Amino acid sequence: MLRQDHYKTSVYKTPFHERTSELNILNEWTRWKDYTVSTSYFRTDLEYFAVRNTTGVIDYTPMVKQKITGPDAAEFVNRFFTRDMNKIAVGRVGYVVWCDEAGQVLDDGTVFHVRENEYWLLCVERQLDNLGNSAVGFDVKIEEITDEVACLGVQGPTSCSILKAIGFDAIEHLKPFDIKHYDFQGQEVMVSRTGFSGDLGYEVCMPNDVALNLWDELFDKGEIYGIKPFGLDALDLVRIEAGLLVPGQDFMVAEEAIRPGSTRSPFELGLSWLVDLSKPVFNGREALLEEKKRGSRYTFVKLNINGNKPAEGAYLYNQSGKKIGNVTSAMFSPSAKANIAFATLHDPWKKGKDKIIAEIYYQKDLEWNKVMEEATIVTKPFFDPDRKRTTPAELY
Amino acid sequence: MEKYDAIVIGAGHNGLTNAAYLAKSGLKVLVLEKNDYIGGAAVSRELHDGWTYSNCSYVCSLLRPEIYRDLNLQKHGLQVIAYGGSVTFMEDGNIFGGYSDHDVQRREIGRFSKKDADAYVRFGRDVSKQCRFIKPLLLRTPPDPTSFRPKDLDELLYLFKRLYGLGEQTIYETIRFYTMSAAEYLAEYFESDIVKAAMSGSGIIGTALGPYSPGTAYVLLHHYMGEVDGSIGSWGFARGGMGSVSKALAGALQEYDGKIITDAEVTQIQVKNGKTTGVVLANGDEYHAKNVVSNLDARRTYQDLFDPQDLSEKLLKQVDNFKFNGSSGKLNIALDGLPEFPAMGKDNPLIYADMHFIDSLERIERAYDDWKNGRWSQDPYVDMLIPTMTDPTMAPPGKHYMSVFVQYAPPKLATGEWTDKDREGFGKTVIDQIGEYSPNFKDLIVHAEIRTPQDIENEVGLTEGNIFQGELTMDQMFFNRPFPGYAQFRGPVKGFYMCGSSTHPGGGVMAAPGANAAREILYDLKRKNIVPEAENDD
Amino acid sequence: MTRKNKKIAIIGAGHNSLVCAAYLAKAGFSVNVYETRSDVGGMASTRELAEGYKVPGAAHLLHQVDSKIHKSLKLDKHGLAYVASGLKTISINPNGNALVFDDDNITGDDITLREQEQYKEFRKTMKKLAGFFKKAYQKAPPRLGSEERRDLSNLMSLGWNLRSMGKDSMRLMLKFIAVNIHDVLNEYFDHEHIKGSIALDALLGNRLGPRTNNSSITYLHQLTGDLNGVQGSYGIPEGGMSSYSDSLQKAAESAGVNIHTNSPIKQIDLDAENKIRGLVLESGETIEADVVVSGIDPRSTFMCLVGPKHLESHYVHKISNIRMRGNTSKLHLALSGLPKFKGVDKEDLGNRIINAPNMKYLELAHDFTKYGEYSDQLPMEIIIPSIHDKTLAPKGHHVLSAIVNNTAYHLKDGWEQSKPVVLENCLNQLEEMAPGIRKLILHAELLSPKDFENEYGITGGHWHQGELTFDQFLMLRPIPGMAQYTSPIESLYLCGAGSHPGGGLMGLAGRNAANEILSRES
Repeated sequence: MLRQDHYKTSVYKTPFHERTSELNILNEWTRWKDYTVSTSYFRTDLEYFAVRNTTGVIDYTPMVKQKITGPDAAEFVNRFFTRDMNKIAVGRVGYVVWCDEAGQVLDDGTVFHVRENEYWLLCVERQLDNLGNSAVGFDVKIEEITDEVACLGVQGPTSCSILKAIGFDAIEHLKPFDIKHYDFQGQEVMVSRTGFSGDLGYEVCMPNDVALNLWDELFDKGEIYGIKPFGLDALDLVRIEAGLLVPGQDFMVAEEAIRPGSTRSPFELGLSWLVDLSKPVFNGREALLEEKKRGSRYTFVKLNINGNKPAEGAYLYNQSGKKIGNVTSAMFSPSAKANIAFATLHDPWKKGKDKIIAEIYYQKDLEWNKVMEEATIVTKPFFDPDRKRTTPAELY
Repeated sequence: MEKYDAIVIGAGHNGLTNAAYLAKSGLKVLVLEKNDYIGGAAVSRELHDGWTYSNCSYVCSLLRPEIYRDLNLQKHGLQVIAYGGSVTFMEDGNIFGGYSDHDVQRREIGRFSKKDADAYVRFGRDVSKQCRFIKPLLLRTPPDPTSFRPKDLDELLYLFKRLYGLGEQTIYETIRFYTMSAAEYLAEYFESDIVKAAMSGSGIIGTALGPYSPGTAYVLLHHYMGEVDGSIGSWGFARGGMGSVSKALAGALQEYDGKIITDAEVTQIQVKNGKTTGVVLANGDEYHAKNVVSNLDARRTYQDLFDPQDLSEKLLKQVDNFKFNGSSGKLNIALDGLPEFPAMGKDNPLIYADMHFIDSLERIERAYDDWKNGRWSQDPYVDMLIPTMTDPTMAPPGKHYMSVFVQYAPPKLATGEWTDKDREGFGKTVIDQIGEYSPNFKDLIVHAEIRTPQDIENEVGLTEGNIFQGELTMDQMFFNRPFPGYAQFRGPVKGFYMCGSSTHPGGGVMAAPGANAAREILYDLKRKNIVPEAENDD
Repeated sequence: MTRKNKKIAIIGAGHNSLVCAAYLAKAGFSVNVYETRSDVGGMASTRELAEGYKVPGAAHLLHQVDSKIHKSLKLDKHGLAYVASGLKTISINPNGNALVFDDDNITGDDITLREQEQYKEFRKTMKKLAGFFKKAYQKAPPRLGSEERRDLSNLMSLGWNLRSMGKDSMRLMLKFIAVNIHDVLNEYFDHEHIKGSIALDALLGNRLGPRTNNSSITYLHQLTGDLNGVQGSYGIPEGGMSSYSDSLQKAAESAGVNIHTNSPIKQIDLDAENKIRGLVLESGETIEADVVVSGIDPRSTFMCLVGPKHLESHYVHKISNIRMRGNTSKLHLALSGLPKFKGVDKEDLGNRIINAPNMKYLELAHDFTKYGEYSDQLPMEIIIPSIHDKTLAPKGHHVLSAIVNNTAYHLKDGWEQSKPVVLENCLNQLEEMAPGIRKLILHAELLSPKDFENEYGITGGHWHQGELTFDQFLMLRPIPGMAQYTSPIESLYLCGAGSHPGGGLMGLAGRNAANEILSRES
């Protein structure tokens, strides 16, 4: 049991803190769940370009990690998540969402099929309650391992070379979403070709006690490959370019939503590819079938907006001035040199018929100005290089 | 003999609120108070030299921010200081803290069950949903469900639409929330007994029901109400004690030229030809007004102030059947220094918080069994705090004032009326319980005021000492409060109104009943409504 | 597919299952009923206590049988007759002053004229309120928040029934619906013995004390029935309780139902798409069916026969949270002669005798229940059916059947250890009520809620397959989303007391379910 004076350390330091605090010359920190992490180390745009041009390293440790083990683990995850989990073989990772009884998304995350009868779920919100309530009748054990496992994102075009240099043999042969275990100084670390950048990149999960050594190895061997740490601000830029959603920003997690209509189904987030209605049973199926019949309330879109004023929080209107939605995330993409955004559209917007016009407020010399800019819907991610997919991965 | 537009009987916080709104609307208003001080149960009094006690009510729980702002209470000297947290001392020497920081709280729950820690999010959401649903209703008049008048039908339709707007699952959850026991409701979220016990406390305060009794779950929303209010400090201490609330309301009333007379006990409401004409005081003085508003509870009002011939037999029966079931006592203690609580460790911020010394649902339920059997709880549920930690002005420097709310104490003991010896025994039970967790506590006691439900009744005039002016159970809530047919603040005779906690939405220092009654009075007088509606949360 | 070749398999042959089967068969479906036990009837059965002594296995009085079902299934023709009806209730008192309740009249125990009037008034009011329930019991409750016509019209008719009661009754209804019988009775009476006796009606079979909110629902619930047209009247069927079930069985069989006893079900057979395939029996035999209807309790149905893996987890969560903690035991005695109860005339012994001297007595008994303990002073409902039906015991001998309340399913000490003590306590209590009775006892047994669970397969041994409280009532029974007798598994329906409107040998759950099935499967 935790000591009762745990309140004295409201926020924990991650196992990498000794290093990240040295590198965080801006001393910019934020609280992510139980931990403090850097929002920006030296300059957000340079951190961003490290990810896009060389390699950026991000401390992912606060990401909630849950381990599901037991003879019924496969059956359990298949009932819990909306997609067909049988397609995620041992040694593979899958992007998942899961729903409450009303078919509303509780969270999104990645599931690691670590080995036979063992899955890890990495996500933003804690799920012990949801997982536990779903486990009735299944022979599974569910643990939260967030505090025991340190986690790094190593993202960018030279990331494969760096990992190979620290001794992760044949890493270039990992296909996207593959998992491989390596021995690092006598401890097992798990490397997966996944990440949040939309580029070539890896995630490394390791026991806490090798965390600093692995960090040091990375930065030692990575120096010549241009390795840099990057913070949450830069992460937000790369993930929007990559077309990846963030719960709590692009949608409300159903577990915290209080007002009717504030939650989203997977269909309403453009994630129908993650829903396999042909599975006989999974949480939210009944409601999602019903939604299929009745139609959805919202449409999630990626937008390319005219002009160069980021449309954060913008209201969207159609040509007759009716409100048809909101922007949930927005930025000016340095890589695409485009003004991009994620948005939720609703009635009376008509697909293919209605224009989308963003009402953007921006500040110049402390003055607030407004522009109305037309936007077009984009279906592909804004940034999607081939090297993301090429296997063997590019080495330098 | 001066004539008034309206006379308000009783200068409790609702009476003052009501009077202030009537006066603000331009009416000539008089408030008559039997005691030599105003405030009713929202008072600060110096009963021991140098110490100010919040004798009865002790926190500003749900004082409506709309009224606070509207009547400019800040200008009239009210300052509500936010405080947060709670701590439950456990028999095994451990403690369970209630921290206001979400993540710290989650971790604290996780010390007892990691699953419960995660379930806490779901619990918070579900209760907050109910708060959101209920909040606007606090400043609305309940409809009469049996009526076909457009005003009632409109309100019923509003309610129906609001309920239907929640969606199917939430509608069911709402019905369950209002009818289940705190214990069963909590069991759908939590597995750890200490977590459930700590959460259920708010479900039983002021009510003669145990946590196993159906109909106690909904009171859990009190804790979340403040958060939904979105206004920091809706749970807080009134600086200078609860009397500051009454003082500020009186200030507002006087600003609008309302008048208060203390030491003026009303003994009769005069009725002529089915209309009120005024009131008679104990000393024989008469005051005349076409509108008379009672801040007293429903039983006192109808049984003591009316001539029974002015009331129907049916109403008298309803009055008789109105349940009070007083169940709370209070200790106010002057301390020579700060008591130590070794289980909590030094410098724990929870020393500012509410403290409880009962760690399982079964213990709380057994405390309730004592009440049923006409005893004060031998192992009581106390809500104890040290207001001087937050507001040092209430005691001499370095000294402290401790407020101890005690659940359960019956209005009448199985052995008969409360005697001085009983009162002492009751005080000892409570002091011993706290003493078990604080070795130096007893030695620090300089003065202790012990108030049984009977004392509360005698002094403040709350029948059976019920702090809500009548039990807040389903059968006495909303359109049933105080009785079916009279839930819209109007009495049986023309020009007579009720504005105390006996009316919707009930007790707590909310000021909502007083404001609601004012709205209905202004409606009858065909004056413009100046009473605010609840601020929208969405 | 026509009704004729649509096969319906019904699980359990309790009275609701039989009613449901009969209606479905009458409508032209091919219906098979599977029962674990060797005879039908479930809780309405007859049990051999010892050779030559027969007692009602669980329920021992009929008072809620729905008269429409009675008529349309021609139960008279199929052998249902009452050897006794319009039974009086005699509430005994340790001091010997018994109260006698005869329909709307009371006498005895220093009752005043005013109290007699109060009682009449009370019964009149309560019967009127119960009338609202009775109407609501006649069909599936609506889904709230639904925009479907069926639901909206059901909801409107509920609302209309409430409004058409009149202003005063509607107000009473809205006030009483969620409160306790203690407060209601205090509004009407001062006489403690009257209050205790009435309160017992609200508590029998339930896990409630007089002060527990919701106990007025259960009071109104047991007033919804009528026997031979008399609301709230008690009767004993000729030939024992099983003759009620036997008449249902005959009604069902004459409509073409096949009943298979000794056929315990292992699971509800689902295909890979979670669609109904039929049933699998414990014997391994598989039964093909297009529709499965479960008359057993919802928790056994879903947690055991369907299995949580086949359900979305919120259903599992809700079903696990249904409160169905039994609180009622049965005491059976074989007696060598007729006992003498204090203050009860010999010719009155054939009536319903209860032990509930005041509300405090009942409340105290409940206090023990709350903590998994038991009092040595338990409330009881006693009948001696052999007075009316000579076939139940050898000549001159008698059997006594008592419902003993406040014996919790979960006892801290466990039933194995507690049972002899509870039995002994009961016998001591009986001895006090009927001095000398112990000497007449030839055989005695106590069936605990655990025994009921084992014997009749009801989880928790709860007589109503789930407590009848507001949060498990109407559209919330057994759980929200299943209150229309449907389930998340297509073509799997519920028809037991766990569904609306609950237990009490009414048969309404069975008939309402049949109607839903008819409208959905035709």
